[in-house]
Amino acid sequence: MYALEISTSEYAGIVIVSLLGEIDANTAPVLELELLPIARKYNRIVLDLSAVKSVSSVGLRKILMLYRMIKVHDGQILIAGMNDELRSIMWAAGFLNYFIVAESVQMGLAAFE
Amino acid sequence: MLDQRIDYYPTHEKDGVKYRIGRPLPLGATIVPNGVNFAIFSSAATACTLVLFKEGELQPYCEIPIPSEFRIGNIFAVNVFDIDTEALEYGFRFDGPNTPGNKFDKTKIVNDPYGKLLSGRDEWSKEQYPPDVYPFRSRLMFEDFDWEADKPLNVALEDLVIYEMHVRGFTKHSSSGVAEQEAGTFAGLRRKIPYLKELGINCVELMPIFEYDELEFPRTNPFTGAKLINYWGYSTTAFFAPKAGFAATGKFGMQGDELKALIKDLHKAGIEVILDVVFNHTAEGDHRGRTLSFRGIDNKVYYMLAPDGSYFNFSGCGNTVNCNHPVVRQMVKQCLQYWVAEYHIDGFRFDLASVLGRSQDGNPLSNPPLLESLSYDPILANVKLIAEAWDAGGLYQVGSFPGYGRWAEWNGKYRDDVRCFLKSDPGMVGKMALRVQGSPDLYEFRSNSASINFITCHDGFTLNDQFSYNTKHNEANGENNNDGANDNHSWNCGVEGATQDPAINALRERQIKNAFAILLTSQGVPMLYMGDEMRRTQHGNNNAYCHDTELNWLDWSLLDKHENIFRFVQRCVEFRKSHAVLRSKHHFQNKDYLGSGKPDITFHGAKAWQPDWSDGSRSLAFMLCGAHAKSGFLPDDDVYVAMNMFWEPLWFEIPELDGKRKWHVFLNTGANEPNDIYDVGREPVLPDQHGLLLGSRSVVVLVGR
Repeated sequence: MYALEISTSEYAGIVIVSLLGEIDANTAPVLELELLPIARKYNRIVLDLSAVKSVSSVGLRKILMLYRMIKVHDGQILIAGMNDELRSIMWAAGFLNYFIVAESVQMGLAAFE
Repeated sequence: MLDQRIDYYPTHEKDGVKYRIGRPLPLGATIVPNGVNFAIFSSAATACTLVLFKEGELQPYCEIPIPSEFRIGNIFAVNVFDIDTEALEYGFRFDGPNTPGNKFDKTKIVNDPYGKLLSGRDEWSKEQYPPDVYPFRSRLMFEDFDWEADKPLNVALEDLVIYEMHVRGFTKHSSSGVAEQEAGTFAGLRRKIPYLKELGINCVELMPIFEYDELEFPRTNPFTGAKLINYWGYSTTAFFAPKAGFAATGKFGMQGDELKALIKDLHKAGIEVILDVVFNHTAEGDHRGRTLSFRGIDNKVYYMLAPDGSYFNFSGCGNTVNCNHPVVRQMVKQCLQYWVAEYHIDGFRFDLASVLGRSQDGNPLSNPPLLESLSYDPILANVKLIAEAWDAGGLYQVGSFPGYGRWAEWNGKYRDDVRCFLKSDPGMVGKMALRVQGSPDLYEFRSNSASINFITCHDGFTLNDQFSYNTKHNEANGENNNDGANDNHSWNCGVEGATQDPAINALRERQIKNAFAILLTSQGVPMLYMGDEMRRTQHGNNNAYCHDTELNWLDWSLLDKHENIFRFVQRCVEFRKSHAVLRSKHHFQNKDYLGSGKPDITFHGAKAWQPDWSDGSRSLAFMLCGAHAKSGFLPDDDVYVAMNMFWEPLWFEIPELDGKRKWHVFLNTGANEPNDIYDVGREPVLPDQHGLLLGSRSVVVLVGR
């Protein structure tokens, strides 16, 4: 059982990446390993953080790295399901403006269409 | 490719931690591809040990004595492998001979002077670690913030309107409307950028945001028993680190990113950022103070010491940083370079800056190496350098600070002269003539923009209290009201403190408006103090450095209560920004050098062209010729300002304009609202172009177009 579990699914050409657990210096390398091929393959990603308890400085940087990778081919990332604290942290640290934000995965998918 | 280099591999090991010799530069802790390089200076130490902690743990997980062969000159350098860069906290132990001037104590762990983050007060007022092991710990910061298109605004100094503010005090009060976890933080300030834009200022000067210990005072409030808190922060513990307690994300170690996100948005809003920096002393105090960093590393290099080894105290706070020692001045310069390059800071205001001009044995220097090197430094080439040109050791250098043509000064004479004029002191009219034109008496060989004009700042009364109190009331500071300035030049308008008397209250409001009108039509750089635009009060406390309470937190309900004052200030700021004639960089020549028909500036009294310079005079007017604005490069309207500080109304005869232009009334503090001030650009024509009646203690501003 890892501290971070990653599962993916697809819907109408959009990949949904669901994370469960914590994103920090220990789990970030795993995240990077899984996200790299996804970022190359898809143009639209919904990142589901509804089951993420905490994100550290390294974790935020990994998410931003995903943004940079997808930007190379004009992609977009939508972040869904953040709790208030997580959203506040991301906004305060200046990481939020790169992403579209939605309350839930469903609303995120609707926003993408 | 990297791992083909021979120096990529460790050569030593201790307790499972691998390391090798490091590189002596850059100083501090640098993340390198295979680990972290640590480099620290000490000229007198004989031994240095690197101490490594995992965040949250009381004891270190490894102590690495740095081998003597790793010492390059006076720098100890070690490269450590496999560091968890996010969780690392580090420090050093130094040992050496305790010959006079040295204070080595190998039982103490000291932090890195170049540390980019500091833990210990991750949340405001919370003691993270007990004081006996290692209370304030250096940490690593990721220096990869995405500034996107941010670039320096490069607003000319004379075009700035500075707003001095306290990060925590700005949004901590529950009335700020900011979410609780963001209240009193950089993020909270960022939420309020729309307010700053509405006010119209284009520069914020933040009171100290370098790491400091808010819990350092031992005393309590004599009335409430609560511990007195170092709220202002003039007591640095880490010069390269932004205060975690000022960040909503401080407990996650993201205060650096949070501050940068704030600065990025301020720049987008057209607002520059100046930092109040305190290089004149540190939080280590005198011989009775704590050993946190400098003292345990190289006491006699970092501090100015008397021949007997005791601490010089030119700061009034126990110790004095030895700023002109070659190594120390290098640190100061690199620190400022770091804040400019990493945080995109636009300027610095140096607290007790005269200390920076003292030699290693405390004597004032005419060509201080530190100030010279800052003035010509390439990275600092475009930043504002502002000196509080005095210190606590009797050195007063307003008008004579070694400025190299770069430095501006907090013009204490402007503050004192305007305050005295406002309370109708005799003999002030001649001085006012100098103050409103950028103090050429002080800055003859410099320009108007050397003069930072202010009437209030964090030191002293708020503007509201300046007209409500004759004397200071600092009993709550616990020093029997002995602390704080006595020369406030304030006047309570008849009653000490709050009153129901409508005439007194009307006069107080008028005086507040008079102050803003004069400040914002004077040549030089105006500085406003946070909250004055809504009549913030400290109930007569003129030295409120130690109160983390509602006494200092900005009460936003005042904005509704005193909307009239806010609108008045807002319009004055807009007026200033709309009229280049108010923002000349060069001194006036007091003559018509462009052939416009009138000199660049002329003085008047109740009679046009005839100012009354006598000792008993309390009134003065000046007219600025629009054609001479910015030395003729940006022609503007004419502006006429009349100031009547006499206690009776006075008829002012106004100089005639040429046939095409007419005088319009922008503001008249003696008129009833809403006729006290008008929208910029929509000022009504003055009914009688030959003159008008100024009420007692009133200011009028006319614009001629």
